[in-house]
Amino acid sequence: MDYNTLIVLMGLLSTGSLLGGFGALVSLKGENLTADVAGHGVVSGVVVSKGLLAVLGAAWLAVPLLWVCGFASSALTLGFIFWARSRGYSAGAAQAMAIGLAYGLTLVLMSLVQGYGAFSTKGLTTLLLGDAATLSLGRILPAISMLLGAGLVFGVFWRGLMNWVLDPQSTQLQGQSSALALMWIVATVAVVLTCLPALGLTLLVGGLTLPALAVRPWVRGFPALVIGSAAVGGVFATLAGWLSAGIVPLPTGALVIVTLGAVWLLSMILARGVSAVRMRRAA
Amino acid sequence: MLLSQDLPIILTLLSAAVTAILAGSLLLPRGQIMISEAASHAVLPGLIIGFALSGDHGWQVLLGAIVTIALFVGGVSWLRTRHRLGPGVEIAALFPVFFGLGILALSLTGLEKTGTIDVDHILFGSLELLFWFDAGTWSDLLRPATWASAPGPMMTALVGLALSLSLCVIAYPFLNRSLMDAHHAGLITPVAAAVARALETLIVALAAAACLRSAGVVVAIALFSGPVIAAWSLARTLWQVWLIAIGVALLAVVLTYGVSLATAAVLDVEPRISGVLALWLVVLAVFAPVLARLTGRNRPLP
Repeated sequence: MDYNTLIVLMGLLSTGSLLGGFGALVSLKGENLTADVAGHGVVSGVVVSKGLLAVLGAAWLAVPLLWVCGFASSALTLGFIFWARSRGYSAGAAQAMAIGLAYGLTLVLMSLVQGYGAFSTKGLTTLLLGDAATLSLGRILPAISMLLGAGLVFGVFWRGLMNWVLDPQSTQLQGQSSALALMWIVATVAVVLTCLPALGLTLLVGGLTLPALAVRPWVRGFPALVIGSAAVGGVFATLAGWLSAGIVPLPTGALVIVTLGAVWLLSMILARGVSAVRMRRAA
Repeated sequence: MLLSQDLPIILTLLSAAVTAILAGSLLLPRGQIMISEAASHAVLPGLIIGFALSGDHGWQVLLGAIVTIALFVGGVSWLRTRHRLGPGVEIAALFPVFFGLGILALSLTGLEKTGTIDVDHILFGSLELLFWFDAGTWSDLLRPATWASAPGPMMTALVGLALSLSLCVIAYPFLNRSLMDAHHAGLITPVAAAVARALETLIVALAAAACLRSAGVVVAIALFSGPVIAAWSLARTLWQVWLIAIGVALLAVVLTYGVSLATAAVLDVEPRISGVLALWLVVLAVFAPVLARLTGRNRPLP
């Protein structure tokens, strides 16, 4: 296995595990589509960062600018959702307006930034669809660091996290609701920004959702669901990346998601079969 | 210039917008508007397979889109009723798989390399590339030969609009009662519910295909949701929702054109039409309820 393939597979392993584990929490909260919208909010920030980079001309600012602008735009998009909900719009209507706003802003900003020749639609297509083949050590380090950090946080605070995810009213009573909501926004945006290069925005929500659904019928308890989702996400993303690298030359991000979809389908069928056998034996 | 360049853009955009409004008005009251965002992505494999089989952007592409959306909406409904995964989880699980299958189909068929289907155009639309060379004067529009050479995306959008409008008009009494009266929805028979579901699927598929071929996947959600959200607080019947939403879409298109021309004149940069349109639709969706309150209407927000 050559160096580039190894880096791509390491990137997919860390990205898949991070998305799988975090996705279990997102799915339990039922906020998958809100996370998707937050992800779309990142794109306009990315476009602004490219524009600023073209104006400032300082290459070393690329990563800090990307993170600052991505965070800001995504947080504003999430803020718009919460504002719309507080005005009386339903969750769906608020999400739909926020995603329309994010897309519209992205396209308009992109037209303006393109005036400087700093960004092309190809660049945005890569953001939306991902480009795992071009992963480098520098681009996968955030995902690896984030995975290690998230693992540590989960190991120490899993009980508190479980209470907050499964019983949000208890944290409201303790007066920690706003602080945790802020941390949730920051974590969502950080995970989205970290995982963008490998899977792309459009497919990222699949990485967040599918591993947890595949694991759900087979585990009992909160830690098992989160760890199992992380394992399934990491293993099958790596497997799909390995297939894409040599055996079936297809777009990696799409292959990862379709593989995870197949795993979910298989898991659902097996769970039904096992349940039917148990019922028959019990009868 | 007006007829050969601006007319096809305006006609395509308006047709796609009205088709999307009809579909959005069926989804919004049921709290399923995010299906439109997902469906506009999920339609990709049907379009690719339809194109790969036929070699052109004809009816097979539309059929592929309808079959794919039917599978998607059917899958979402099945997961929602049988598995109860959580709010929106079934949509979030299914649409990336469909979109991923579309990307794989695009790669397997080799269509992207030929340039006949461009992912950029699918994502961001290709309105700026619409030209109707044979439409030089108004009298040309009366000649059948002019329409024979009309741009494909414009004709797809017009045909999609005609089909959607016909279906909605035929089923109007049923749709109006089931959507505007929440209690009625609980009283309909399983057969009527199945027919309504099939109708809704067909209309969503037509709208998704029309949006995908004109404004692009990324702003489809604004076309589906913006005008209907704006109209909801001002209307009392489904007819009023449609008419006000069409008015909102028209206003948004006019404002989009105005801003695009002004930006081009001042900054010497042409902003992408679909992006400006999406922004105007969201702005109008936010301000319409304010207007409704000022005029004394107290309908709840969607």
